[in-house]
Amino acid sequence: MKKFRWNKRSFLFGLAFFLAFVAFLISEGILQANTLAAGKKDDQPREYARLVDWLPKSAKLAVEYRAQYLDRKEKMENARDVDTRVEAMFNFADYIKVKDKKGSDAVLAEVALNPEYRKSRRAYKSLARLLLGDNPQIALSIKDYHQHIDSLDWDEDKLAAWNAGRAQLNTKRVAPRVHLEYLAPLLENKMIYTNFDNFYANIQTHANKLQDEATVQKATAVRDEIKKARRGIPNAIIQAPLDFRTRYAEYKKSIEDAKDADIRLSSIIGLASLLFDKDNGEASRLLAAVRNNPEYVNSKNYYAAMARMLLEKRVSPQVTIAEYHDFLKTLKDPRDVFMAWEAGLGQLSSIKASPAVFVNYLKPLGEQLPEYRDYLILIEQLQEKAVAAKDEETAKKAETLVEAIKNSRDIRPMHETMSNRG
Amino acid sequence: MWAITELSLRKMREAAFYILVLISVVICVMADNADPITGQISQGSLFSFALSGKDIVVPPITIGTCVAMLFCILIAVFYSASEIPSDINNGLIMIVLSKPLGRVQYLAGKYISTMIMSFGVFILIEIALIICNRVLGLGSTPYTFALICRQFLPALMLIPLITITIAFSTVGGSMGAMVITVMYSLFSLVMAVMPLTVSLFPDGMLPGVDMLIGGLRYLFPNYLFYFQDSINNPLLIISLIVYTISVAFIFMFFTMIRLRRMDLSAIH
Repeated sequence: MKKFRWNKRSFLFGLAFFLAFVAFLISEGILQANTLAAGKKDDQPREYARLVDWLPKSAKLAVEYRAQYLDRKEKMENARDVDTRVEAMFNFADYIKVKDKKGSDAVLAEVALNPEYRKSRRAYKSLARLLLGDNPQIALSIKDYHQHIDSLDWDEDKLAAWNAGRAQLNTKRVAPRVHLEYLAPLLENKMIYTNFDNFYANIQTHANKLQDEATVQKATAVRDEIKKARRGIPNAIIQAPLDFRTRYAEYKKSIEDAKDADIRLSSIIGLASLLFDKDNGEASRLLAAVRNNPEYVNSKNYYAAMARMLLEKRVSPQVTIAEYHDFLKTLKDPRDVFMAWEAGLGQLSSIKASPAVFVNYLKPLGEQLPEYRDYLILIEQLQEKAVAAKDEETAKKAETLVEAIKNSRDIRPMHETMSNRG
Repeated sequence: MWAITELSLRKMREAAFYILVLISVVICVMADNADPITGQISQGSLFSFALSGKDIVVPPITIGTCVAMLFCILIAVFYSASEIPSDINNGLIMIVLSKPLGRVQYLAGKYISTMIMSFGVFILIEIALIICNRVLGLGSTPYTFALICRQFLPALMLIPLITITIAFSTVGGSMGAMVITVMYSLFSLVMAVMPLTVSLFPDGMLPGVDMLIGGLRYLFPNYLFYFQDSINNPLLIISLIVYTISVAFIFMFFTMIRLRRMDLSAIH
């Protein structure tokens, strides 16, 4: 075998190999990162067994259990706040209850025994499981469970807690007397929501079995009230993410604590936006109370409230385009005027308005050259929407204005003009 | 170098080869009536994560192309495995290298001839698929310009495959090269999906395996990259081309070393 000796040719080959190897590492890294991005975890539950479809059924089940176990454990350990952790603890305990009853009991008991966990909005799931249960560490009485329900702030949480407790009693196949004992507080503290109607129907059924006419009549009276009130907790609120009420409470508090009208108005708009599609009635009431209210009319951000109501079907009464144009005329500061135009445009985009509506809204801007270059973007929007709406006249006007603004040196950005004016 | 290429291509002018190409065209056209590959994979399966990507809408790889790839792989592996060993066996390599021609040129000539043939067959089948789709209305997916471009991305995998097979042919002879290439490609496929599989499971499912796979995967080319729908932006396409060339070059380099050191008259 020839002895290897470095020469110019072998050096060039070596260098080329080194470069190819570096290129390989970099390109492979990029492509591998792209492949792994497809597997990044999302909130959707994953069927792990399907990933290993080629395995025998028993092996697939074992893989699924182990993966779900680790997944739930990881969620429990990495929970950001107490509510999320308590919910994850229940999910974990519920998943392992068949294969590891002892472990499941320990996790459920931890929720009940730790005061911080027990106060959580999501503790009812674990506590309901302990209700009249056989957990060796803690047994929860109906009275204890009622105390927990009373401690809950939100009606949707109470509804879920009442449901969870009833499901547990159904599993335990308790006597009608126990059912009535469980549901009795609902007769004292009436929950006049359609969602609670079936609890009162349950009271009627169980009381009938015990021939307790007085309780039947009480339940019937509450059901009549519910029928009259026609009020329910919206499904969107019942199914809202866990942080919905946290944010709701934060907005409420900031409204109460606001030092001036500007801050209060910002919080009201934020709260109304949060409530859209969950409780449109409350959102609408909040915004309607702001409109033409002397307390807020002179606020710097009053335009934001007006924009939020612009053609918003979820608000009654909504602000029409003509009303919004009239409102724009009342603004004095050019910066406020521009921001109000932008906010209105943003609102129309968020409600997915038709091009014709956009044209109707932006048309006044197409009438004359604007004072500031900032309006270029709005006029370009007008041109684009007018083309889409087949409004040739407006499109042509807007096109002329766009060209004029682009070619003009006198039309300067607002911030430059303002700073020059001091 | 071109003389070597021409010589190798002339050797391929056999009736059996033409019949194989003709049969390939017919089978591909018939197979093209089935749904594209991504439509055949059930959601939530490992291959749906590996091939489809998340919320990505790109023209699919048709079944006709997939079958065409199978034929091209077969042709590429067969010819690249037998080219150098047959030259050594019949002594042609000694005659060729006695001319004013370096081993690099000889090797390059062999690569180019095999690639011309494999890609030639692929392009021929694709043309047949397009004509049958556009003119006769056959096939499940209309061949738009974007779809046609998409079909050529998987064909890039023939480049590393040919260089790998040629590299193995200098180690194990023609039959050995075919066997080793098939085994190596199967391992490559397993190694290609392993990192994704590990990442899809929660942490701690297979302790230490991710580290092991992280190191081992560099020893195998990843053919999965050539079939992924998510390779649809310039950066990723350029990366794929660079990856293809670099893998091919690394194996070419090993072949060169092997060719320099081996006794070219030893196999008889």
